[in-house]
Amino acid sequence: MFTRGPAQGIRLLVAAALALLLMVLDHRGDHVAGIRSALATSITPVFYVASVPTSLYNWFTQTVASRAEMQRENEQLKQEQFSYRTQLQRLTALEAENARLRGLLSSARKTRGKRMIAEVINVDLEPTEQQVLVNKGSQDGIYEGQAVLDAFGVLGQVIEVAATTSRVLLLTDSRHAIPVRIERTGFNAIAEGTGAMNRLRLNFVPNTTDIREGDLLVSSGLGERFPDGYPVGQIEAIRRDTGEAYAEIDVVTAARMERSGEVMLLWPPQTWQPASSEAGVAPSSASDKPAITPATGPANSPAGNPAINPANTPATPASTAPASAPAKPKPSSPAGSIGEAAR
Amino acid sequence: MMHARHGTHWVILSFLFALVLTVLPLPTFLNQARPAFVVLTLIYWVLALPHRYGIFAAFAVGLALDVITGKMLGLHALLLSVLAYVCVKQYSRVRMFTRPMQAAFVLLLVGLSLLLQLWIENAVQPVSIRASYWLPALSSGLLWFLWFPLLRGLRRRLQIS
Repeated sequence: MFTRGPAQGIRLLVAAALALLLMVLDHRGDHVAGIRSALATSITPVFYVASVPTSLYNWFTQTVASRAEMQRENEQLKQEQFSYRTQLQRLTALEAENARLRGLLSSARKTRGKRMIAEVINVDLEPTEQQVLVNKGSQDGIYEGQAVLDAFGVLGQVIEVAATTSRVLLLTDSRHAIPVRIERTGFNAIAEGTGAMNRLRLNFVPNTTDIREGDLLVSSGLGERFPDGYPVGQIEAIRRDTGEAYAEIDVVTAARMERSGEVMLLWPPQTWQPASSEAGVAPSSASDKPAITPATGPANSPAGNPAINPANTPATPASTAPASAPAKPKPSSPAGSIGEAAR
Repeated sequence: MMHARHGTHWVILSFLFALVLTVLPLPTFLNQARPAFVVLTLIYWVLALPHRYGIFAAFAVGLALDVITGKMLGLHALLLSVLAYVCVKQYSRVRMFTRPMQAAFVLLLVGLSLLLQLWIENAVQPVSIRASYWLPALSSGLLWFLWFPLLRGLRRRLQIS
């Protein structure tokens, strides 16, 4: 029995040296990404077991909800869906018009890339890090650095990918920053996380800048990591100190991080080529460089349109069936029956 | 080593259970004071079976904890190895402690690991903490009164040795 004596000290030294090596390698880049990904994949069941009580609770509350309540909710959802569909019809018409005008100007235009819905299976909102875990991983084509949205705005980006799960760093993490644009004026800035719930900070905005409380911030797309034009947040408070060169600006995020149940993963948009398709639909390609040759998509993407993927069930990874996509952009026929009804 | 190994899978299961409790979704106020279940479990097994579970077991558990909490790989491996070292060195003494003294020992160990974690994370990237950062040490100390009889009952019933 070597429970005493120098053997323990040597063991500790070995363990500590190994741990330090791992930390340095992990911090200095992707040297241990393989190990990390393999470990994360093998430990995934723990997350599913941990989410059982929540799922049971959700299932229970859904099952015993009263009929009247369900009907009311159903009615409300139908109304919402109707209004969204009418808006979408207008959007597709505008998109087509935009594409045509850009075609006339012969300038490249970005269309929407592939999308996928994922469920949040674990939330980790410690003061030192703000992350969530979602139920899509490398099997679904998720990659590191991918942009993640929720229903209200930009949520964060993927920082770690396992086979069936991936970890999302939220905008509010103090290690995170996102390039933004003030929508009213077009002024560019960087929004940094503060580590506090739903709070960001704008740094290095000069005191004299035209900026007001309530201004909307959208992603500017300058870092080429987040697509441009998605809501990031709203200016909550501005403190101008005449002695300081820069104003202190607090931002509240558009994404509602404490209640995000489902998130949307985005793939980079493809550059639209006027010559490649007269209908204004870009070929689906996962590469972020301009896709000159169509139909070079990856194995799991359909050789068709950039479609919204309704796969929110974990059992059907990457089922990007275009036939079941409810909101596929069809610029060639902008006025559907519902669109007509709304006019 | 020629020890009769019995019930290893139960020990692994107890660690998996502790890992599940570590990531179990909790309301915010409980989340801040979530006890360090894995550390408690590790301290128990090292104190109870120091010839079987020591620094290397702690290292492996720490790796799992790193991956599951998304921390730097090796961070918890280092912290838990240090804790296991202290426990292995002191197990004969700690076993003689009364329960409140053991709880205080656990509180100190969890506090120590939180402090080390803060140092390492600060060295890599400055982090800001609130007073609630230290709550897990307190809650872990309190939970020891429940966790210790639970794991001891498990060990005796299943004759883990």
